[in-house]
Amino acid sequence: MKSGSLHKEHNLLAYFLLGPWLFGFCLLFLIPMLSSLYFSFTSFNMLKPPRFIGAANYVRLVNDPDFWLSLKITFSYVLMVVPLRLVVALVIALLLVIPSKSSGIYRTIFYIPSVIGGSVAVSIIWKQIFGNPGVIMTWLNQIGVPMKTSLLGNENTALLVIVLMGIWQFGSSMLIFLAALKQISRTFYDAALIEGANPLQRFFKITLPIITPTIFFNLMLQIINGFKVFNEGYIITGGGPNKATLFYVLNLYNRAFRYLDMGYSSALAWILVVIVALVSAFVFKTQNKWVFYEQKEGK
Amino acid sequence: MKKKGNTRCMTMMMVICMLLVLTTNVMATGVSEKADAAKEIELSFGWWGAEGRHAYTQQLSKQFAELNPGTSFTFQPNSWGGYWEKIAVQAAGGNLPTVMQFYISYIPTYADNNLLLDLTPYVEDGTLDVSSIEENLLKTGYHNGKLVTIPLSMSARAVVCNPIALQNAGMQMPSSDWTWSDYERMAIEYTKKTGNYAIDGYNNHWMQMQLMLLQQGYQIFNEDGTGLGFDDHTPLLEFYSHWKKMVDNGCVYTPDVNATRKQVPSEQSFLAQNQAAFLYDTNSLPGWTGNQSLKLHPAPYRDGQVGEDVNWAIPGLSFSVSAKADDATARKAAQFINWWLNSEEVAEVQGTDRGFPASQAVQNYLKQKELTALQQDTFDYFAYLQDHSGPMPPIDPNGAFEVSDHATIILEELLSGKITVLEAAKKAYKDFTEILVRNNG
Repeated sequence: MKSGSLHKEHNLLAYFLLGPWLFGFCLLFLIPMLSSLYFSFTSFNMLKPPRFIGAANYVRLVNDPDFWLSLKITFSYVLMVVPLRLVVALVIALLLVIPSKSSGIYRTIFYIPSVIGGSVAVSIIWKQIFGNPGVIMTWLNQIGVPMKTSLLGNENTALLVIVLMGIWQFGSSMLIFLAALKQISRTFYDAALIEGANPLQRFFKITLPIITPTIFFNLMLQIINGFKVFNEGYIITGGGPNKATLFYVLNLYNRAFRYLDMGYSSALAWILVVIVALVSAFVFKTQNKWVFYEQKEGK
Repeated sequence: MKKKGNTRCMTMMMVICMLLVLTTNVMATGVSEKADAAKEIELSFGWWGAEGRHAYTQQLSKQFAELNPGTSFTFQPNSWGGYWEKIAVQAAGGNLPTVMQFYISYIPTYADNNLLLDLTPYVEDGTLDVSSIEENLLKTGYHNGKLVTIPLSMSARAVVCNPIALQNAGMQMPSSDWTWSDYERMAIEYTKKTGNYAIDGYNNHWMQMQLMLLQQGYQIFNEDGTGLGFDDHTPLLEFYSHWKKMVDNGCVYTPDVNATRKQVPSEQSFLAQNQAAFLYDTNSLPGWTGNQSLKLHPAPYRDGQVGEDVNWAIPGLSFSVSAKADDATARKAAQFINWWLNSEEVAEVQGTDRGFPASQAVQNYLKQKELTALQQDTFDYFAYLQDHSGPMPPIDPNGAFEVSDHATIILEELLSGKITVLEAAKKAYKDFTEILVRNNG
């Protein structure tokens, strides 16, 4: 009895101390999320009060070419950026794990793009490099390769430029890989060396299997981040040329704030939640096949 | 055990005390701010524009605050696109700026939802003097009998011509009774002779579509905004054929070039650099380019209809007051608008940056001064329009903005060769109608 009341007292204090965060969470996440769920069943232009229209927004979505197009573009982006970013992050982490005096400096330098990567300023710089007139066009013209349209102006390459920018922001994955690599006990490698394993064998037979949980963690994180891509499309290309970079969230933003179509936009947002959940669930399912956890062997 | 409980109690008490102290502090500041508010009137003021406008608008507002002790300003300068996104959200949150720059197309949406104050009482009691505004222009400030916005300027569309570029190509300025065929012929000749784009892009193609429809006797939207003002796609064919011809002859750049040209500042546009010869746009464009030699030229007539005027002056910018403003604030806002509309101090600094001044007194004041070549050209063009204006088209319905955005997509598909003229016209008719029904149905 006594310990029960003590428990309650404990909980009370915990909630009390959590209060400010809970307050913020409700105000900035829970309430807006629930309102958007409600708005997704209404016609709402932000100026007039919302009018309930049932599932009409979700029906409209099925026949909306922009919805399918933006979904396709976002999936292509995720499929290109996530694996490439992880590979680059892993390669750099492997180089940095080799002990040297300057590895701390390199780590910082490589992490910088992730800190500033998605920012407005970098997007603008990217535009100056790949745009028209831009650094690349000017250089190419100077060395005698005439270019009429910039890489960002070309429908076929605009997305690739943004993908390149995405890959460049590999820093946070790199740090996580680095931490995992440092955890690997030297004894594995010593044993392998004695057995005569070459560096490639050591990497594929020891390093890679041991860090699969980290790869999995990074993969989940980057997939979720990838679906949220917005800044680059909004600032660099505005979704163009010819909607070639109309990312899902950019389309959602345009519907909400450019065309005051908040109800429909809320429906788009909830569909994105469902899509990300499904993709995550799928990746989770696959982990039995390729992720190795130490505990399993013990049991 | 007991001791531990006491410590916990103490901690909780301390936290509660700290929170209480914080709250009282906040409340105290709240109270003191309220007390100050009785003396001081704060006007929040939102507008869109470029850097130059941001700077002089703030400077002039501060001047007004000096002339009216007890008035202060908070500024919300923005770009055109960002402005409308922001005030839509502010409208939903019930915190619109007190004084807002407005454009006529947006008035119905905001006025219908009772977000704009009826300024009639302040006109009647003499706070706001609108007598200098020409009657027809003033009428555009009314919505359902309420004076919801005060027109500050007039705007007109024109073909902005570059005489130097034409001269370099050995060509003359067009005459004022030219037709679309003349325009196309000149553009093709210019591109052939110089190798440059004759037309500096298509960013204002929407205005041109509206014009070419009017020349055929159609309004772009029907009266209640639930659809287009014509029954099938055929009236759109002339517009799309024109652009197809221009792009096929290399007279205008394709969407891939446009995608990044859009971000080039006006001063570095092909037109400003004497490389392009034409652009159908508004009377404000030459000012933005800073190229003093540019000329405003009347739009071409439809072939075979020379003399049937379809140029017109439309309301430029206006100022409105938020319906949330209390009487004292609204009165001060009305005084501010009055000062902005009628005073020579504002005219002196602003010139024609917000369009051709609505106030005839201000027009006369500016005329006496030494005008720049561009200002002189603007005055000449508006004088020309007085005798050559057709009726003003009706105000855009809800969703017009989305239609015009979508029109860009369709035109770009045509210009990049993905669809034919006929497909473009059919697609436009179908999609525009759908958008209008969704917004007004």
